[in-house]
Amino acid sequence: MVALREVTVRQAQTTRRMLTSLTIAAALSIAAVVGIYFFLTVNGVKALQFNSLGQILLGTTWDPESTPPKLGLLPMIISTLYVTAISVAIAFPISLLCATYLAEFAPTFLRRTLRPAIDMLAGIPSVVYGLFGILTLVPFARYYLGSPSGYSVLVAGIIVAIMILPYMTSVMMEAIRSVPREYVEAARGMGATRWQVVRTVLWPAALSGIASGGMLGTLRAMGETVAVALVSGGALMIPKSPLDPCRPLSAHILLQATVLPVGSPGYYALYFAGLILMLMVTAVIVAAHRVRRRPGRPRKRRVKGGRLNPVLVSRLMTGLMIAAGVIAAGALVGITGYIFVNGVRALDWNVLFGPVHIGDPVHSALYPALLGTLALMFYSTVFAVLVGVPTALYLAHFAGESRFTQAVRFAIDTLAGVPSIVYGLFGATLFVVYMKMGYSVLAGALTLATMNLPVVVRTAEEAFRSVPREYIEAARGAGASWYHVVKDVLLPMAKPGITAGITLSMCRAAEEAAPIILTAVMIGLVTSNPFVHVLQPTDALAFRIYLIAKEYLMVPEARQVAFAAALVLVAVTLSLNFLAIYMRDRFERKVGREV
Amino acid sequence: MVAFKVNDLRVYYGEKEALKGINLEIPEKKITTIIGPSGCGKSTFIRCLNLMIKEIPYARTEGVVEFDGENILEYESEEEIIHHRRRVATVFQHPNPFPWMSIYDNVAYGLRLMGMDEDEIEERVHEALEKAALLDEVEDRLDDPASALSGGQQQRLCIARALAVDPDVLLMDEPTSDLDPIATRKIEETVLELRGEVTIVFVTHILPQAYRIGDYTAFFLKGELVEANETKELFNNPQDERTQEYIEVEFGPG
Repeated sequence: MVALREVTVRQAQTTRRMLTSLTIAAALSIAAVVGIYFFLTVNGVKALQFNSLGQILLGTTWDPESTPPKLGLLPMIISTLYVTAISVAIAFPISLLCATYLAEFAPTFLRRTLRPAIDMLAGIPSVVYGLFGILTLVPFARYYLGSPSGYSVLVAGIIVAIMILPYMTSVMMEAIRSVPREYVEAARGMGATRWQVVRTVLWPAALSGIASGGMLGTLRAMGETVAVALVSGGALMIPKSPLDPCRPLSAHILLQATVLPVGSPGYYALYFAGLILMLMVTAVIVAAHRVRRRPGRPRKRRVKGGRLNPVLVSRLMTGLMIAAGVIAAGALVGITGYIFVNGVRALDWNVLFGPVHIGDPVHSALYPALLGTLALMFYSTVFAVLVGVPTALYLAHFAGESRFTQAVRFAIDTLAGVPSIVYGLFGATLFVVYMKMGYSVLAGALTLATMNLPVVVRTAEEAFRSVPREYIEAARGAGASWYHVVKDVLLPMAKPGITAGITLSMCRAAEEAAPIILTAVMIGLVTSNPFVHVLQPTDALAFRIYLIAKEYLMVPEARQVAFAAALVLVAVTLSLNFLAIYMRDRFERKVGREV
Repeated sequence: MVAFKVNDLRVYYGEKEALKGINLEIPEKKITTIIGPSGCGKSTFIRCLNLMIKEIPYARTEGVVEFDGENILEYESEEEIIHHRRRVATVFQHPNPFPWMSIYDNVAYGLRLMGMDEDEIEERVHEALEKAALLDEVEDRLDDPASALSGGQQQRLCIARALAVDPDVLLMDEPTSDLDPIATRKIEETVLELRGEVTIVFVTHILPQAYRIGDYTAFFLKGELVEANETKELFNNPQDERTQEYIEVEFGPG
């Protein structure tokens, strides 16, 4: 019996040690969010030493080099609001109609095919949308719509709308799908037309999910950086019409952060711009939260019956839904097809593995960029998983409802809403300058890891939570220590879910150009092995596409290289996304949820 | 007078035959109870009367269900189906008032679908709540969410919602199976009050309930109609062995 006792004591010790490490990991999440707030606020507030609050918020001139510096951000604030408004105004109704059609009207085979297809499309990198916009919509706006340069609020709005469509549609569709059938039956049984069912049952019952979808899309639209920086034109003026060029806050940070010296008045003003962006994000989250809470309180009576023939209206609306679906599918198929066709045509041995010319993004082969992207994906995911998975485990099974737990949850939620460019700015100051990493793979990976932390924590927590209690109780009942429950039950059962989270995080690391432009890459190419020389800057696919689209499109072969890089990048992200979706479906089947 | 005249009704779910040639007449303004064990086709039969069967994509029907001189199974257009459902209202097994609407709005739902003006709606809502024996309990809180009501009240709210459109027929598919005995009794009383005003088809697997409230009773088994008769006659003097056996097992001998 002595032996058994020793084993028990040892296992209890292991469990205690495990719990300590989990708590430390969770505390790191708080450190990350406190760090971001600290840096943003401290640096942002320094801008007020040079200009008053009114001068910054209402000033229309941006000239950080002059004495005294002029740090007016009003044109950027208005540009952000303008582009976001246009994109949401286009994408929200289309997504809602599309999601409704797919959830309620589409034949099963169509839904089964389109649901994963939509989720896959969410993985197309924003820089690819930017490239598409510059080569198609910008000339279109110039020649046919009378926009002076083609670079405009309208084109930025449309591109962002196409980007956020899959996100919104996916979330809204899930919400509508989960409306209990009995309510639909009740309404149908009362003689409601199918459109009346949508209007009076599905949308009100799914309101919270629809608001979430709208919120997610709006957040992305506000924070979207690279695509917008490419097609908005970057003009420092208040856009008077949608055909004028503009410069949203995110694009402004991206364009200026690489130019302005750290510690200059303008650099602090960029932090201030980041603060404004976070404030807007918070406002959207709060607004969506308000809407989501409402269904508990019934609304006041109002007349709902129409004078029109309801069956006719129903038919019209169904037609409209199909039309929305066709528009959305058309846009997305158009973009993927465009990249695919041009990419395949552009791809050859020389573009991929030819000679490397330092400082020449057009004539240099792509393999260093691919390697750099892979290295950034790898290291950032390692960091994100090391902190994120234990945090998730802690939150899912070991956290009580203490103040500390609430703080961690709040930290995770806040981090999830921070635009990627703000992470870039944060990384550029903390990792690149203060920690003296310079522009490097390490600095970029740490920045991306901070950005992906919420993604990993959320998916992993969800995975840990959906492990059925009976298995945990069975193990506990058999005398397993918590350490063994984690090792033998929770981790194996949650593995596909965690893998899905990891894949998503790798995907994001590959497609986000904004944070790495500020932390990991340098203009010009460095050919060291990015897996080994982690303190060296590196090339990356998303960066290469951005740079060419921004500055080298006049060069004859530039398009070919950009298309080839886009195809390789899309291949990487889409296959990762495919893997994530496959894992999610397997996981849902494993825990017995309907797919 | 006959409300529904069902002739050789067959329903297939894919390959499976769920109803195997039903012949039944449902008398007007009486209470017809439908009994039988689970899976006997009671609910499928009800679904044919309000055409909810057409909401199931893989279901196929044959035969005739005659209502007001027409075979409703031949209705294909949304107009015809919806028009029919406004005359034949349904109360489902699980109380399903819309939780995001107020008590008032739930009852007004069908009327608003028809585009009635609000003054008339207000009158009809009160009438319907009165008929469903709910008015006294909710009169001073009509704007409260429907989800605040108890299970039994929610089911009576569903009855009120169904009655508000002034239907010719009220179909009730095991409406008390989720309720406690007191709430059940209250629903039964409500139903008995409606006798003579509206045709009621009441599906139940509780035989004493079928006996208490029924004028006529039909016994379904494995997709077939075994026997249909006046309720007292069917229970006291069953003609078919299978009916006799079922009643004995469920009710106890005698």
